[in-house]
Amino acid sequence: MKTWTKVISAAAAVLAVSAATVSAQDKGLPDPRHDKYVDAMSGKKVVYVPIGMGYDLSEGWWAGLQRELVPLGVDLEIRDPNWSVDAGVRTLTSLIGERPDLIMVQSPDEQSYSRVLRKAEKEGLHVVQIQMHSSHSSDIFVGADWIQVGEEVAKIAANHCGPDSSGKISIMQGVLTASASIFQVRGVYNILDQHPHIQVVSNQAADWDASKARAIMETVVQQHPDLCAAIGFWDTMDAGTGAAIREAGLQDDVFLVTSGGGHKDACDNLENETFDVAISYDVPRQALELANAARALLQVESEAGAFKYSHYSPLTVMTKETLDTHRLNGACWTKESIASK
Amino acid sequence: MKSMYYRILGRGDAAMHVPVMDGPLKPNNRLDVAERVTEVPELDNLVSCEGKLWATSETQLGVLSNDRLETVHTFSSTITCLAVSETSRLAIGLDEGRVVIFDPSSKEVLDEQVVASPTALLFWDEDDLFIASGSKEHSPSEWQADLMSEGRSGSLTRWSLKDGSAHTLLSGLAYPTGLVRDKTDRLVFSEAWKHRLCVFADPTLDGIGRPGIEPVLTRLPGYPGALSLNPDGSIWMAVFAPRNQLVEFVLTEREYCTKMMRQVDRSLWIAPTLRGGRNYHEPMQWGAVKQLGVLKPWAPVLSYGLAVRLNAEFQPIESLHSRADGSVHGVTSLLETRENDRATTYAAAKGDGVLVRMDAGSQL
Amino acid sequence: MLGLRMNLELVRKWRYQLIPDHVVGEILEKRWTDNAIPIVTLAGVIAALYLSIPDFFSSYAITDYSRQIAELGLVVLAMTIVMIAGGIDLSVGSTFAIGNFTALYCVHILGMHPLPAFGLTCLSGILCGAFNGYFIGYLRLRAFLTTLVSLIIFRSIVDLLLQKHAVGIMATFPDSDLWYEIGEGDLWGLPYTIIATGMIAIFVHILFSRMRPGWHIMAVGGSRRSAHNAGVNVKRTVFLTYVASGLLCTIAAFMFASRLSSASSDAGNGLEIMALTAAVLGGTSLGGGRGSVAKALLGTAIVLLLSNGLIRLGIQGGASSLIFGIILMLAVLIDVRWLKNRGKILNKVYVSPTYMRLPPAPETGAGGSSPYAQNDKLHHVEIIGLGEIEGPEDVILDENDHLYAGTRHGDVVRFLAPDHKKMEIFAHIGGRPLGMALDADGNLVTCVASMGVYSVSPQGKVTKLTDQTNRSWSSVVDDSRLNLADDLDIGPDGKVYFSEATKRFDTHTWAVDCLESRGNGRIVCYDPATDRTRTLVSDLIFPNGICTSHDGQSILFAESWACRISRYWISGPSAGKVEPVIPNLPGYPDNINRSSDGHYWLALLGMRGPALDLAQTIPGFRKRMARRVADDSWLFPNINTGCVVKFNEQGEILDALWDLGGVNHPMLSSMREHKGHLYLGGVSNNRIGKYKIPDAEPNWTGFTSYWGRAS
Repeated sequence: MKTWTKVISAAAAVLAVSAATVSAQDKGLPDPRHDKYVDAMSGKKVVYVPIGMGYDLSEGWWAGLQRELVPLGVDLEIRDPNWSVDAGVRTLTSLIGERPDLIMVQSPDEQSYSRVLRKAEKEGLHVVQIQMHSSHSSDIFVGADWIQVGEEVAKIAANHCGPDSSGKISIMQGVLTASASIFQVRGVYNILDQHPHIQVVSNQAADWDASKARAIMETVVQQHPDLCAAIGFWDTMDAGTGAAIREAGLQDDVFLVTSGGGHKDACDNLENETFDVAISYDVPRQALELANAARALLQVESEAGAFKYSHYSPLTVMTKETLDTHRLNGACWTKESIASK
Repeated sequence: MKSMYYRILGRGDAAMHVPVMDGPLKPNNRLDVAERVTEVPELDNLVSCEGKLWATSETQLGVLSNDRLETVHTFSSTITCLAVSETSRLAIGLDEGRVVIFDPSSKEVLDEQVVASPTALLFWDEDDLFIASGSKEHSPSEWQADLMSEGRSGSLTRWSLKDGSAHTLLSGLAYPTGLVRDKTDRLVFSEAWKHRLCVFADPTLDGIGRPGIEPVLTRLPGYPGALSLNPDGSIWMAVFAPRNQLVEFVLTEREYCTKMMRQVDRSLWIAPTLRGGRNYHEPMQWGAVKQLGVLKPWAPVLSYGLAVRLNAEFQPIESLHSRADGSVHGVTSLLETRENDRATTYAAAKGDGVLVRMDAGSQL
Repeated sequence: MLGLRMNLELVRKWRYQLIPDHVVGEILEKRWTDNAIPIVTLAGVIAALYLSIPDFFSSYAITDYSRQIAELGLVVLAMTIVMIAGGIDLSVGSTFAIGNFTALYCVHILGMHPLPAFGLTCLSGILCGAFNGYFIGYLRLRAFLTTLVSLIIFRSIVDLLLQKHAVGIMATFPDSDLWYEIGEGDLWGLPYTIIATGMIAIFVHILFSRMRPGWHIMAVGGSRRSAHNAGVNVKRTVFLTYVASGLLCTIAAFMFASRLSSASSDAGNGLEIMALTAAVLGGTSLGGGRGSVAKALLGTAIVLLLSNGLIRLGIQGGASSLIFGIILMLAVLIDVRWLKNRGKILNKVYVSPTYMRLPPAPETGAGGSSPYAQNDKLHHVEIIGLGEIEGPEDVILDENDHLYAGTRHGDVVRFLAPDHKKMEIFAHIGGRPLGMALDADGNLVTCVASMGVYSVSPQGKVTKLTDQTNRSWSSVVDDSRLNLADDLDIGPDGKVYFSEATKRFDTHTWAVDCLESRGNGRIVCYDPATDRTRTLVSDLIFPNGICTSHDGQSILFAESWACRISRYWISGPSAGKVEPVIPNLPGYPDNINRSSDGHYWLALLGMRGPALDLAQTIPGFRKRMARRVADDSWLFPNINTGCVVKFNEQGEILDALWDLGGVNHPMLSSMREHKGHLYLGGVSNNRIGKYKIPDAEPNWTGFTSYWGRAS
């Protein structure tokens, strides 16, 4: 031991002496890319405008964005319109005046934000749209491919309801004018139209509200006790759909397919068989992609809207049986788990 | 802190509340409609002795006969209070600061005792006389000065006529002005500046230890004075002056109050009086402005006529009033007599110098 | 010690001269003080946001806020109109949603031009409002419950329609530029929408402040029953407020639709809470009868700035709703407390006494050597009109010996010569006729409290001479209107000189002015030649009686609470100057009139008492008394007893007339000599006295003394 310490201290002494004499070249070279990257990030103002806080998706993205961007010195801000379209438009309008470096926005519907987003683009503001886009496309879109989601859920439902079943399917949309509804329902019909024996007995909008969904489903299962499958557009809302089915005692008869961010609540609902299948668009991954989109846009020196591209999230089909596998891949997350990763 | 807050905003303890005359004290004009027996200046101290009605007027002691006051004896200063014993000896309080024992038949002074401000006397028995002294600083005729300087120097003394010894039983009283022994042998006294009636727990005590007093009737709308026991066990209480919100306010305004006492003639003070409103230099209140030549009976004034009958539990059961526009103000003495099952109440209004009489039985 | 006391008194004197306490009360009396709380709140909100969010008030942001005010402002206005009429409209949000849908449906699906679409949108709002108005106005259902129900009904209708048409609306882009311009365009930087809202707001303001329908709405909100009794059609008025509310909501919705084209079902969600909060914050009363456009806009500004600020501060959903809830509650609390206590506070602070030290009062004791010594000369006066007349403050006789007097009923009555037994109403003016004089043409000119100066022709025709003078620059309240014109006289040139006793108290509370003893009064001159009225002397302490001197060069005037008589020169070398005549009276002087022997009669309406004289030197005592003691118990000047004195040009007292017993004529405010008799008036007497003056010139009349001839 003693000899080792002697050797080390001697070596340290030599190093110290030599360090004083080596030239700058010996310390390695500055990386211009690194400096540029650091400059591009630090002190930049990024504003996050979800349609409302307090639900899994927006909380998950927010946790991921904070985890990824705050250490880089990005000034990350949140503006919560609290589910009010008008407040959202007002927020965006005032952001145009404030001129942050990047806006990340989730549109409540196709129409409402489109004009103000176009204006933002004209004013040279970079915008990332999240999950539900507006009819005006901005620099980058990160989110689910709703056509694909619709097709997937419809395929699963159609497979379940073979020719020997009643073939009755119900559709529970969110806000009708939201892109998540408009395009998803198109995807659903793309598939269902290929299955003539399948009959859509109800196609209603529950406005992303679980209690509304529950009320609608209660009447649907009353009118159609032989309902074969229910397609829901969002797992949080469909907790209500499932509850209505459970209350009607049709839990084993009605096959409930839904989609969502793969939050722990969705997993729990698979576990307790409220949902039969849940498709996940993987919010932790979306968060990371959002952060990457931000990193990219903060570095490029292009005009706003010069390039427009979409990052569609890959989909995972989750069932009770496959849950453990998905857990290993990061499904069944909570905002704490995202933040701590 | 709290009291300062109260003082600034005039709330809580500092609020100028005067209890309303309500219930048994509801105003009437019974004193004004009563039979006016005679008019004698400063008539006071009605006492019944040997079947005759005795009274005083300033320095004179007299007997009422044929509705006139016939002078029996004239003293050296104003007679402030009077009591009669079983054997018809009279105890007489004098404004100069003395209490004398007087034999009416021989017209001789038998004994005397120095008392600062004799306001009420009571023979407990032949040899024991209770004396209420209103104040140490002011004689009874200066009672307004004692009130306005917030006097708290009254006392209660027991004078044993047998051995001449005098014991002070209570001191620091807020102007005791009436003494009575009720049917259950309790000693009751009125404490004018606190607008209340108190029972002295055990009068046989010699003032040793800590004799307690128990307030039995509080928040009176006026200043209680003489008390007298009626044959049926009820008690007449003379309320010699009304409480007035302005007076209560002036009492809290020490600067004004002291200046007033120093600079203004006493008859013109903002202070209760036995008879007010006769001199236009006197302070007047808004509500007392005459409308079309009429003074409203509810006008706020500094003098009033009020007699209250209390039951054995000292609760008011009836009252006699002479209101702002009345002419029997400043009632200081009441006496109820019973002859052949007929009860008669006499009220002496010192303020207006009048004796009124009414049939008490018919009013009950 | 004495020196110290003197100094303290000096300090007190200066303190009350320098600090005008009465201004507090006068400001509180203004109706616009209702707006004080919202304005302070707005200023507070602006300051807080400015400090915490640096670029919150950038010019861009301000344009943006104005655009927002346009829509919410209309909805708040809608709510305000309904609330002023005493109702509440919870369905504003749902009506807004209906309007939004109608506009989008017309433009996007039917492809209509925006103008007819606007008409249809308004119609939808009128129908919604009529629905509410019919149930609340005509069927008299409760406003709260009815609009709560219609909130749900309208919202469900919108939801049902949206199920069907939302995607269609969203998918079409109308090619009307006008449609987009409405929501987004501007004129010289001012958005069209804010211009439209501004015009509507101005119209509604004029409606409420200048037009009959607005007054009807105010009246209904203030008191339904009184409005009904006054002939207002309450049911229709209430109905119309809801229609107006519906209409305004849909106009706002039309702007919203054009700006966002949002077919989402949350349009107008929670708008009723926003609008209610804004209305109440602005100071519109929940109880009705109180509110204005300015208040509505103030409230809107506060709410919008707050909601924007909360989003900017990154406060998340639930918390900001909670904050709004708390603010609404506070606003309601303040509204209720303010309404309840404003009058109380005003009462407590209105009376604001000031320092006054009078010299010791002269003796008046009977039998003394004082010229004022009491006697009972007035004990046996003849009584005229006992019980018939109420409150003859002043009396006057014409050349035909008819006796005139004003009464508290606003009449000038006449007792017919020669015996004055028969009374008739000569003219009805209204108000409270006080001092009187005859002009050269025999017209009776009289001061009428709370109205001004009026002239009554011998035929009984009433003409207003003047009711205002020039406003003094230092006064908080507009003091140009004559408040309590008291006595007058006419100069040789026909000018009317009159006193306004106090600007701060009225006919019923005039004597409270004594507690203040501030210079609240003034002497004013009306010139009939030019029809102009000018203030001659101001800051007088209850100027009361006025009399033109025998030589016509000056007027004598009395200042009641200051217990003095002064002379104001109207011509000659000292014109415009004031000089003392009697500096210290034993009582409060009232009217002054000429006597036949070249001197003057003066009525003392009350006598001084030392307790009040002392209180006059301690203003704090009087102020606290006014706050803490019930008003009928306040220390007051003794106006139950008065007397008449005669004085000469030098101010020497020559005679005094008393009613010692105080039965017949204890109270006096005026006297008038006529043909050897003195006629006595008293402001709260029920009679007129007639006193035979020993050794008086038996044919002397006031009219000849003034005008030198019979009329």
